[in-house]
Amino acid sequence: MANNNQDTTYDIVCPFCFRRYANFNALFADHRRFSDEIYPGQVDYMRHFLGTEPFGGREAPVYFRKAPNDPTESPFAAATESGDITRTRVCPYCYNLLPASAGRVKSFSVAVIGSDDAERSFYIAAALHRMNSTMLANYGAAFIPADYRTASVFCEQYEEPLYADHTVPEAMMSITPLVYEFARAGASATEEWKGNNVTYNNALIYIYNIDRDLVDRYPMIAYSAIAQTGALIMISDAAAQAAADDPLYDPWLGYLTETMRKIFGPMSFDRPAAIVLSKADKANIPDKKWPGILKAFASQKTVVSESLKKVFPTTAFAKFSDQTAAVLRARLPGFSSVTESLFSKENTLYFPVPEFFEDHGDGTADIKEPAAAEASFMWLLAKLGLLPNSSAVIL
Amino acid sequence: MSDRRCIFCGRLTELETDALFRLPPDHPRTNDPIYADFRKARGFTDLRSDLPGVCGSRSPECLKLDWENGRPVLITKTGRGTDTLICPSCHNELFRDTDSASVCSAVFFGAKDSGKTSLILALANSRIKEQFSPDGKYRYIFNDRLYSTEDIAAGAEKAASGEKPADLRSPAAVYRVPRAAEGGKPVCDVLHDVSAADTADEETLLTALPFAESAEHFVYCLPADKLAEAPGEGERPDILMRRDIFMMLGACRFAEKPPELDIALTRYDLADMSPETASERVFGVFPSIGELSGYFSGVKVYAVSAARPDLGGSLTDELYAGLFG
Repeated sequence: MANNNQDTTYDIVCPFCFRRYANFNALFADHRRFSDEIYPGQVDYMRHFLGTEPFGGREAPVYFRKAPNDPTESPFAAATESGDITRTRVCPYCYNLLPASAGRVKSFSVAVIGSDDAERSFYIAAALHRMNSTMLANYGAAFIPADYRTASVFCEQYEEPLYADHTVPEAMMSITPLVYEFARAGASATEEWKGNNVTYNNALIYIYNIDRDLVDRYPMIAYSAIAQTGALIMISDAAAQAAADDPLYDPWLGYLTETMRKIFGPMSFDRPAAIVLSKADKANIPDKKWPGILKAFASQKTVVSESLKKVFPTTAFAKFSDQTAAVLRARLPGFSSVTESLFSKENTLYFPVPEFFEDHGDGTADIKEPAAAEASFMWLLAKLGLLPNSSAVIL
Repeated sequence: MSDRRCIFCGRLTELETDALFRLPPDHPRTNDPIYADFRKARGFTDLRSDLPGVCGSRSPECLKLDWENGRPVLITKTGRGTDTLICPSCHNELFRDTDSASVCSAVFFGAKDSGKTSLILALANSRIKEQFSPDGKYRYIFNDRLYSTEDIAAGAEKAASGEKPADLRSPAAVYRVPRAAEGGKPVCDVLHDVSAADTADEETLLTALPFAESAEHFVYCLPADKLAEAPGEGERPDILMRRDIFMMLGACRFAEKPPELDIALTRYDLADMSPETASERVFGVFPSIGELSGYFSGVKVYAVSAARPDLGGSLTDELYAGLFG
């Protein structure tokens, strides 16, 4: 996919080990030759963090650095020992395969953290499933898996169980990032989009689904993912929030505070953050404004418009967010004090959403309100400079 | 002709600088791990690797490189000549008329039992039987160095009777030679069969399907009878189709030129639809196809049948013409 933003290359951020390096430092892989060499970094990473064996126990391909006298002009290709051209690149530290667009486009990461039973996986499934299609309909952009692993993991662990089998997805066993590619097909070189500033026409989005269990098992990976994330989605089970003054009564809030303080110290998270209050329709919040906020929020639609001319910037979601924050401050002061201290006010929005899926308790689930998930995700993409600021609007 | 494309791995080789030759049979046989590795990656179990050695213009065995009738011939120091060119990447034979502009490859993939191999056999067999294109512009010559015409005919017959044929681990190649009056040069049409094992994981995909990067067509085989049942299955067919295609995209993500996506509705005779409505039906059941259009140079739908020669004949002709011209 062409990079419309600049002629030169971008730094690569490895979605697996989080190291940042210049494009020319990436190694190339020759999959037509096999090596007897063992790459301990890769073996350790795959075994401990992804729960798999590299190459299924087979020999590794030959990895090599592009030679200074290499005849290939493209910075994304190199000549192999036999003179063939390879474009497959791997991280020089963890030896995992890099997405094809790595170095060609800017990469962003989005960490999704949440309490147990907060419908975190449901949220990711619903948002990405819908964005696969709505991105094209609304923005003429593709938003699809950038590598084989993401296509496979998303289908088998998220999409197929929920949308085809109507079963509850199993708990994630590894921190496998979902690597998505955002590409505005046929986008012109301009960085302006219908009067709204859009910085990037193409990008890689790394999405990390992080739960407490994974933080405990793989703290370095989980902490790195949160520390380096460009945007954060915090999903909290609104129905499970107690109307108490002391956040320590809620183990999840205590845990969240501890995790964020370990990473960011006393500073608040200053990047865009969406606080998704899942099961908001089931929450016992004794406030007469609450049903009205939920109803108004649920009636919002992300843009489905043939022409982006109809789209105009709006503060609708900010307004709902402010109303939600006010209710939370009054009715769930413990929760409110934690979120307000951990996340900066100017970059944070609250998204009260109804239950995404109805879990029948017997391993099966039904889709209820999947449309609500994408609004928060698209707002974050707008904050990252990928979508117009009017991504979540009232038509 | 100064370059050749390997129909096995898709590599383009400059004959003057990079080409290798297989030494004549009287030379000692040696272990050829590159050839063995490629065969292993493609799922061959007969891993014979004791072949006559490999020689290039800079090898010690080489006396000189000659050109005879436009073809390179390597003369060894024993005085023997060899013109068996091999690919430097996979050590398979480089066939004639396979320069960069003369190879057109199609990769057939899809779920298990979707009729990929049957379709390839039907396409190859119909080229063998008919010999000439329907418009009379081309003569078809089947490359019987890889499969004999009898094997293809027997396989096609078996597939037409409903039996599952064995996967084709080597490509099927058909030369399309233009009539003298038409001018132009011969083209080698290559049909690759992708089995489910080839797409088991990302590393296997990159190792087993090196030819996918240079393929012009990705043919997704979709059983038409399954399509007829699909509306009752909710979103499942769309999800699984999208996964299959996303996975295969991994094999061509690195290509400079995107291939065309061709959706072949196999077992069309078992479905209750006309060829005209097939495309509409496909786009209705698989709305995600639209999302993929940016990653392919185009999307086309064909209805085919390997079982009904009367019905399938014209349809396979149509598919072949659509893929290769």
